[in-house]
Amino acid sequence: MATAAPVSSAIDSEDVVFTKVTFWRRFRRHRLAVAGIVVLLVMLLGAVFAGQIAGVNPDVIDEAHWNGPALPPCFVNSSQCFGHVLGTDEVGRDEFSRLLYGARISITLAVTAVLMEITIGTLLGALAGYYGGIVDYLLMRVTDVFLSIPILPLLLVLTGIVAAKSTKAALGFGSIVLIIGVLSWPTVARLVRANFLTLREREYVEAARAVGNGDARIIFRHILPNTVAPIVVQATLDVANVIILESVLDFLGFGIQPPTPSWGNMLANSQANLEQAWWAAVFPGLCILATTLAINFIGDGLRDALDPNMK
Amino acid sequence: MFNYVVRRSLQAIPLLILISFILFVIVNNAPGGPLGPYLQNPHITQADIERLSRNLGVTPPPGVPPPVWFVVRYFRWLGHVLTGDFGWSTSNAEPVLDAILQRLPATLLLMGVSFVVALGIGLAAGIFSAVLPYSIWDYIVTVFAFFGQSMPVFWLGLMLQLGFAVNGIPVGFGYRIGGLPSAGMSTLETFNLGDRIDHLILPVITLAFLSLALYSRFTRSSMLEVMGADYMRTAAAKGLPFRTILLKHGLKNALIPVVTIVAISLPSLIAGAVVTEYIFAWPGMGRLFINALQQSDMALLMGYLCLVAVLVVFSNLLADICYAWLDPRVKYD
Repeated sequence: MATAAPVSSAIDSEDVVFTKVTFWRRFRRHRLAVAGIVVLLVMLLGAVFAGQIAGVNPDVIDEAHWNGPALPPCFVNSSQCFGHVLGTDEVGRDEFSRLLYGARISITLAVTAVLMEITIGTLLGALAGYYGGIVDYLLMRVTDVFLSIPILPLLLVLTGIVAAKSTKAALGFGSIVLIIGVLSWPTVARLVRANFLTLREREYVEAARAVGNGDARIIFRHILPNTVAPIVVQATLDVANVIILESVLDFLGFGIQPPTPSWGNMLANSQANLEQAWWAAVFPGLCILATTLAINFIGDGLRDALDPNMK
Repeated sequence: MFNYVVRRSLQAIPLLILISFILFVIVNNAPGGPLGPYLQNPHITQADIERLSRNLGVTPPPGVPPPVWFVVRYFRWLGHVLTGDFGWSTSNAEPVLDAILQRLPATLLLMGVSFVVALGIGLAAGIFSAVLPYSIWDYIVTVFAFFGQSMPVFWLGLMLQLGFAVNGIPVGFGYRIGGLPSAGMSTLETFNLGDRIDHLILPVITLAFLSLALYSRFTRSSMLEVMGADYMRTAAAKGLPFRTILLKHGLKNALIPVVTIVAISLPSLIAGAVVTEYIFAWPGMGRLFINALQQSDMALLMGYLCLVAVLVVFSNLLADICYAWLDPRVKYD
């Protein structure tokens, strides 16, 4: 497990001074990670400029041409696609446009949820690792609980409960972010705690204390910067995990609700129409896979570049 | 060793109590509380609800503050659970335990077969990779592992259905491979092994994919570490055949950390089973869970989560004990 690895080696290793140049030199060696950056950039650009690229409103039904079955993509049947590059879904909405707007939702949601998870996890992990004692004990028991229940079923139950409570039929973006963030911080907390446990015994921490720094300053200015590398790696990998997790939620109908497009809910109806409209099942999934694959490659590259001793 | 086992087992008890208490809090915060499912029934009046609430002990008796009563109710509930009474499943009209036990064999079959397939292929691929590190094969296994890590399980299921069940893959001369069943556990009324295997193929590939990637990656890194150990060099210097060195000296030691990973991956296998069963209409616990979710059958959701938590806690316990048993260097205290 990565948690046990020494964290300070970025400084201890062959590079006496760990600079941005060192980082890029190491990162570039990981070719898949560089490819991941390219793919992710394409996805991000698509998400940001969705309006300009798509040209068609993702929620509008093409009433002029659609009359029942989904329209095929242009490369399948160029006379029947009526300008819908990747065809339409089963109710006649442009697939390409929905994919672009779906990227916005899926990526923003995952990044926000991970930011929240990292904030909670880092704070609690730092407190537990630095102070130890009862704080640490309680935190470890709570994380034990969270890590003993598979996150997906628990997430489904919670979204079901919150959705029913809020009287609206569906969950908003904010609620989903909140629930995923609250459920997924324990892994981060454990990681940060483990690093704090080893780092707090180091001489430089003792030195910082000896010259009269307060606890807060030691935690945030002296220890935390030295444990940023594993947190960044974990955060990157978790973005991919949350994208998948959230797409499952949408797919099962408990997450982002149509007509708002997300990669997960675009797949929700595709199973019933698998035979008639394979494209509606293939493309959203390919987008998810390409994005998560890219992020996982980047995460691996970051791990190699930031700290060769991490596993 | 015996003390270690006893102490670790005793530690699991407060953990399970804490888990069940948190789940109890969650379920009691569901809309309408524990009586939620009845609120949706148009034949049940407000008076009925109040009567049920009193009779079932949801309303605190006069003079008892609600938080105290909540704790009392929790312990009552715990008492029932310990005697095997998980309450009444409104979506199945039968006791929760019966509903779950009825579907358990199907889930265990799916998870068991997937697990064996994933572990078998994962170990083989991992060892293979470690023996020929940085070769083209190692590269393929590594990239494949990344795919496993990044693949949305439900989409893989859909694609397998599309490829092998719905259309079939054209192999030329007008032939197609495929025609596998895409839903359910059997076509025939009576049990038939070939039929059962046909139905298992696609769900098992779907479910095994994720764990397979994980196992192969960990076996590879663990095996690579072991390959550099002094005792491996000693074994080679003694003139032992490569096979013996690899399997008896290498693999045995390399498997120790893999045991932990296998136990840690159980929650993801369970979560994966929920999705896989949904996609392939597999009549197991996962499908039961989704149905209960759609009909807000809180008693069943609670029972399912409790059962899963017990499974996970015990598998972690078992992994720790195996670890201590396999690796004499682990200190018990």
